[in-house]
Amino acid sequence: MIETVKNCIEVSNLTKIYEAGGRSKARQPIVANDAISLEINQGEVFGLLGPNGAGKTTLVNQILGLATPTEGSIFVKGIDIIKHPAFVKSLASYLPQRGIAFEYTEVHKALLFAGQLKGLTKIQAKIQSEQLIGELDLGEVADTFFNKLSGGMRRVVGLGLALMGRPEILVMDEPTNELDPVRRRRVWNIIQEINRERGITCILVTHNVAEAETVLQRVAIIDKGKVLALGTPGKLKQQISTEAFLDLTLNDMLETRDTKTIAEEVKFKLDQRFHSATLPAFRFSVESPNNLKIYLPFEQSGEVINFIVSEIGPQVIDDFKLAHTSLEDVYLHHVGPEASLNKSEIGSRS
Amino acid sequence: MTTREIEENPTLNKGSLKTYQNNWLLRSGFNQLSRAFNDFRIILIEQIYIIRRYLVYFFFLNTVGPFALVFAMGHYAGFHPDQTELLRIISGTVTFALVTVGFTSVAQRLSIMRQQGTLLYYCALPINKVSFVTALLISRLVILIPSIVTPIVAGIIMYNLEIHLDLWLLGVMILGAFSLVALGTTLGVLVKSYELISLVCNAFIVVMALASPNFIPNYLLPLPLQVLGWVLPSTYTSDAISHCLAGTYDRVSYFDVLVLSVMALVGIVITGKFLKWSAD
Repeated sequence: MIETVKNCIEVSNLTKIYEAGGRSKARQPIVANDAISLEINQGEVFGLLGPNGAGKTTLVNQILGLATPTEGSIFVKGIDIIKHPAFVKSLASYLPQRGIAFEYTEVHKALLFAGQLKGLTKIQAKIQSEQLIGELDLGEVADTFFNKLSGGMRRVVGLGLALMGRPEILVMDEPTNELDPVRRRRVWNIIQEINRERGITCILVTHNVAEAETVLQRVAIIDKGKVLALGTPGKLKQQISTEAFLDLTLNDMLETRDTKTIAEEVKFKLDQRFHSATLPAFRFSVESPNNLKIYLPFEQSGEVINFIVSEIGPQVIDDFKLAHTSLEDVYLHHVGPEASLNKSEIGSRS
Repeated sequence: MTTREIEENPTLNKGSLKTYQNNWLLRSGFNQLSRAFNDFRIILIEQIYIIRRYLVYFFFLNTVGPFALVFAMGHYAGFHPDQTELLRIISGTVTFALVTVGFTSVAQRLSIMRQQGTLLYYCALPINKVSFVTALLISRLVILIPSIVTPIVAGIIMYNLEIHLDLWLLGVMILGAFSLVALGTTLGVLVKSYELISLVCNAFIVVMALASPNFIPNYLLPLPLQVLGWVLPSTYTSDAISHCLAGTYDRVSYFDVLVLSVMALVGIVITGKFLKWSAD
C-alpha cells in the first residue's frame, strides 16, 4: 500500500461567479462556488455530495484546470494550477457524466487511443488496455463500437478510459449512473481496489450517497456553492446523531400480542435496565404491523440487542438489522429533502 | 514556469518538484514534438472514424457543388471568360472549399463537441492544442478533397485550360486552410451558441464569395470591399492558387505566400498559446 501524504489538493477561499448574460443566461451573476476551502489528501477517496446546481461540477472543473476561479487558489501537489493548468492535466484523469470521445471507435481501440493521448507508448497502452479489459470485465464488448454500447456499459468503458495512463488523481462524475446493481458493485469495488493498491487520489462527484458511503473516506457536502459539512462519514454522522437503530421484522406468531403492545413492554423494561442520566431514553417506532424500529445508543447496542431478543423471544423475530445513521441521513440533514427535487437522485438505500 | 523558478519556489514539496521536473523534461524538445505528432495522429484517426460513416455522401456532394459552380460561372449570362478569368473562377472555388474547411468546419465541429461535452473531455487531456485543431482541420480537408480536385478537373475538361500542377499548389492550399483556422477555432471555442456560429459562418462565406476579390477582380469592387479584401486570408489564398495554377511564380505570388504563412503562424500561436480552452 502506498503511504498517504497529506494535501494532494488544497483549495482556498475559492469563488466562482458567472457573470449575468454569460453561461448562466441570468440577469444576475450566479455564485457557483462561494469561498470554498478544503483539502484532499494524497491517496484518499473524497466525495463531493450535493444536489443539482450545488456547484460540485464547477469546483471539479476548476480543480482540473478547466475553469478559472474568480477568486481564491488551488494547489495540486504544491503547484498553483491556476497558473499552470497543464500540470494537473498530466496527473489527473476525468470521467465526465457525458461527452466521452471515441464514440465511433471499438472499445479496445478507444482504450488504446486514450492511453496514447496520455503519453503511453503503443506497447504500454496495449498492455494496460488488455489489463483493464480483464479487470473491468469488458471482454465481451472489446470489439464493439462505443456508440453501440448500453448506457451502463458506456460508464464502465468510460472508467476504463479514465484509468488508462495510471493517473495519480481520478475525478469521477457520477460513475455509477445507469449501471445495473452487479456492475455498480463492481465499479465501487474497482474504485476501492485502485485506491488501495495504487494509491490513486479519487474525487467522486455523486448523488448516490448511500452507495458511495461504502468507498468514501472523506466527504464534503455542498449546496448553493458553499461547503455545508466536511469530514469523514463517521464524524459527520456523529455530528447529527450518536444513535443506531434496530430494525425488527416480527412474524405471525405475534397473533396473541400486537407490535405496539410489545413495543411498550420492551421499552419499559429497557428504560428500567439501561436508561441513565447520561444516556437518552430509548425511542420506539412501529413502522408497520410487523415492523418495529428501536433507536438506541450505538455503544450499548450489543448488550441491548441481546436483552431485546430475549424479551421478545427469538421465535417471534423473522429478521433484524442494526444500522447507524447513514451518510444519506447526513446529506438530508444538511441539504434538506426539499433541496433535492427528486429523491431518487439521491439514491435508495440498498 | 522554468525549472529554476520551480526550484526557488518554497511552496513546492520535493515529490511534486521531482514529478514536475520529470514531466517538464519529458515534454521538452524532441519529446514534445513527438508527443504533439502522436496526439495529432490519434485525434486524426478518431475524427476520420467519425466522418467515415458519411464519406460517400460527403464525396458526392463535394463533387457536385464545385462542378456546378465552375460550370455556372463559366457560362453565366453569355459571359465568355478568358484563361485568366477561368483561373480566377477555379481558384475562387477551391478557396471557397478551403474557407469551408479552415473556418466553417472547424468552428462548427468545435461547437458540436462543446454541446456533446467531448470538447471538455479533450480539454482535460494533456494533449497539444495545435495538434488537436490540426487533426480537426486535416480530417475535414480529407472530405473536401473532391471540392478541391473537381474545379481543377472541370477546368481542364470543360474549358481546355492549361493548368500547372505542382507541390506549391498543395502547400498554398494547406497554408490557406491554416490561415483561417485561428478564426474558426476562436469562434468555436468562445461562442457558446451553435446557431450563432452557423450564422457567422454563413455571413463569412457570403462576404468571402461575393464581397471580396475571389471570384471578382479587386479593381471591380468598391473601395471599402477592396480594403476588406486586403485583411481577409481568402484573398491571398485565391490569388496564390490562381498563380500556381497558371504556373506564374512572381513577386505577387511570393507575397501572397508570405502573407498566408504569417497568418497561418499567427493562427497557430493564437490557438496554442493564447486561446483559453475552458469550461467557463
